[in-house]
Amino acid sequence: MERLKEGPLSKALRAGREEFNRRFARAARLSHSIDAEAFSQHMVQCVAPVVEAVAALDQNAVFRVTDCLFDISLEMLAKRLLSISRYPEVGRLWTEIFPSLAEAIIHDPRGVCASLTNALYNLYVENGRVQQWLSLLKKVIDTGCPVDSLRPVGFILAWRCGLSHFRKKALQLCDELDEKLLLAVFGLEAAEKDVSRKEILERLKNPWLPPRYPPRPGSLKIVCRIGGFRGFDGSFVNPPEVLSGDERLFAFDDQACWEIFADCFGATLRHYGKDLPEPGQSSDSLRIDRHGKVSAGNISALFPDLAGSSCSAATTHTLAVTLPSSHFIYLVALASAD
Amino acid sequence: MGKLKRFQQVSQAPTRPQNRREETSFDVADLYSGPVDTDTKQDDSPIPLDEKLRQAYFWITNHAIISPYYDVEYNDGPPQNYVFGDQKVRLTLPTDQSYSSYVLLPLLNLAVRRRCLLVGGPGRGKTVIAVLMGILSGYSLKEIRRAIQHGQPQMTIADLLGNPLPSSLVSAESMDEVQISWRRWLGMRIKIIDEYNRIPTRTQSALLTVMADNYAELYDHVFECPRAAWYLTANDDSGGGTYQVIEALRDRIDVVVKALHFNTRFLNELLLRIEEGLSPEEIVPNTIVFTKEELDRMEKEVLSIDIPPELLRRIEFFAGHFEFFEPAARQIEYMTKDTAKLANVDFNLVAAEETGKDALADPGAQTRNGLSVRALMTCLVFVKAMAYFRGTKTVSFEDLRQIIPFVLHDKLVQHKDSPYFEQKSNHALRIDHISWIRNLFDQSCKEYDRLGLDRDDPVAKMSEKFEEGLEGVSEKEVTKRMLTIERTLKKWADSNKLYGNMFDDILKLKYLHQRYNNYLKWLKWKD
Repeated sequence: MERLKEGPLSKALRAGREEFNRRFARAARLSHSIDAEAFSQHMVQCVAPVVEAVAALDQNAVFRVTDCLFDISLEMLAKRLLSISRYPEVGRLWTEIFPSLAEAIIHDPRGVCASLTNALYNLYVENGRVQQWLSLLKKVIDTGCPVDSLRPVGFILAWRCGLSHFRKKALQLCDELDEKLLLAVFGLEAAEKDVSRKEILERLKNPWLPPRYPPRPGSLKIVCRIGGFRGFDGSFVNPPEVLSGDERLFAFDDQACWEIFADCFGATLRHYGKDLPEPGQSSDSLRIDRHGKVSAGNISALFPDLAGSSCSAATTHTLAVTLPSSHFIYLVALASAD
Repeated sequence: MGKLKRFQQVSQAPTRPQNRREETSFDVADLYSGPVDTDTKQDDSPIPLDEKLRQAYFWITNHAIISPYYDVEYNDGPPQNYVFGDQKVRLTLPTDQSYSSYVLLPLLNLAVRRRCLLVGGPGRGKTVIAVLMGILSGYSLKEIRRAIQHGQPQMTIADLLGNPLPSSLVSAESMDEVQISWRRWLGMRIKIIDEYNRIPTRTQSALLTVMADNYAELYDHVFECPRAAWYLTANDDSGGGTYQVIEALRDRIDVVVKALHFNTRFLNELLLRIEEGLSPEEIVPNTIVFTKEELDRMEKEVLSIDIPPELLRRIEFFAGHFEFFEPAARQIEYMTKDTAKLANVDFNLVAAEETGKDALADPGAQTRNGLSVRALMTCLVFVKAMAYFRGTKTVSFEDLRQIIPFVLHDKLVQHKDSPYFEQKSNHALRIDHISWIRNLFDQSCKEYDRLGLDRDDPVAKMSEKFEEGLEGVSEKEVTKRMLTIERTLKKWADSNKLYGNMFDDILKLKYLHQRYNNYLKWLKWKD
């Protein structure tokens, strides 16, 4: 087991030894998942670098920050958030991201560390692309992200990493970010540093065209498949059906209804309730026939896998198709080649 | 076939469209809230003190003291009852939140800063619970442990209170110049006396001064103690032990709590503690620790809880049963059990002179004493505390029923030779004082209802009239009121028996009559 080297963390722990021991004992009493060795390892590998970064900026803040990180770490351990098998990237958050946020952590240690830890947890739960999120977040922070913008940036990046249900709010936040940060969030700073905010936001209007390039004609393709049988960690008990209304897509089976959120960054299903939504204005910009031919205005494409579909519903940009013997929902859209 | 099955399938999901639901919207907080608490001000946000008291209760019962009992029972609907065995042992499953007296009463005592006696055999957690109360008051474990006064036969007054500084003793030319090194525990908000029945009698007297009057005295110097919650432990609740506990000291105890037995089905919990090497006193969360200001405020909040007049009347009626003792005197005012006791006569002999009254129906026949002012005041305080703990603004009937037995446990002395206890079904009440007192209260309430005193209470009406004042009351009106009193007394005199509940009413009417009589004489003199 790696031992804690002499440094700001070891000094702070020594100074509050009795109190820290008492807190650990209490947490261990209340939760059987408190493991002393795992906690020690976390302190050495994850908390120490953060405290060192804090010490480099402000010695007076070391004890206060240590006090807070100690409690957060205990909470995480009690809730099994330090489990490498379940959340392998938690260590990266603490060793790569937090040290570069030392200034923000000095100002609000619990607010910053707990929030970002929760964000990571939510990404895992929603099957988001956790590694990508961490890498993008690190990149944006390194380009100079103001403390005030950290939360909206993290949110937009979470959307980019597969939490598609955040799209609407993320677009609002994009509108409020400064141009430089907006370019950084979409990774455009090198390739297209002259592109304006207006243009980026314009590009983002089409959910299936990433803002990376100027808009260009796309082709009809099956952009993703969501759902699945509940017994295999999917959402549906029996083959679902779909409906649309007012630019929203829904899927339902015998038990419940879900709303479909999908774009070029990913797709998610969110539980809507037991009842179906009221029927709204449906779009006919995308259609499918019984042979599996999908038409979008003058453009069409044949998808033999989708022949004999049981149900379909569409918004302006997305066609949702279900098959009678499948628990999945197939989304078809005019998407870019990449 | 597949198509047919599909047409035959009836959807289990309701398909009736509902009113349009608000568009699902997501906020930034949805990403950043989760299992780790992000609230930086969580410790600063004030929670109501009654809620904090409840949180303390549940933390203790869930994590500290293994007391899986609900002997303080509340019901919000008819409970289920089960009867076991030949002795018809009754088990009730309460329908509302119920509590373990062993944890509840010490907490209530902390809230009202009175004196709680914890009794039970050795090793039942009496000292642990007292220590926990100390930690909840804001002291560290080290401070509490050092401040516990351990009763032992060699304990002297100096051990208890302090010593004069030897240097000042030598140099002082008068007692005023002597400096006393007072024991630290005297200045604490929590006072724990372990095994108080092992303290020698002489030292008990010194303890009595501190308990009763809140000051300590040595060499003409006085130390004023702050208000404190007291916890005394003993393994004998009848006042026995190495030394007999002096009656005055016993009388200062406000509430008695029995340590309940250990339920062996929870042995795994004990094993866990042994293996972890932890004791609950070491891990009390800061969120349930009260500051000094909070304790002061909590006591005020408890005392502001209302007791409805109709419940107060029932307490009056209940308390009125016990003092009256007809054979003790000829003058009615002296017909009390206290008169007999002071005369040092054999109570059983004198009680045998009681004739005609139904000893089974008369609650007063079951006791050797009445209730003192102190006992009544303590009852009122603790029922308020119970209502406060339950989060209500007024005391309920069940609060009275549940708490009064614990307060009067040591205050009402059983007349064990009463015919009431000869009945086979009441044998156990000789030992189980809590059930006995609760039974007494129920008996009293039944009698109260039978007499219809909620609807028609002549003494209450006359008292109310009197409380309005005598200013401007005419001679005619006063005479009318006196006649009403006389008629009422005549009516009662014509009924056969004089029971305890009538005693205070009769004396109250005599009081009112005398007051009116004096006023009448004054009116006549004025004219």
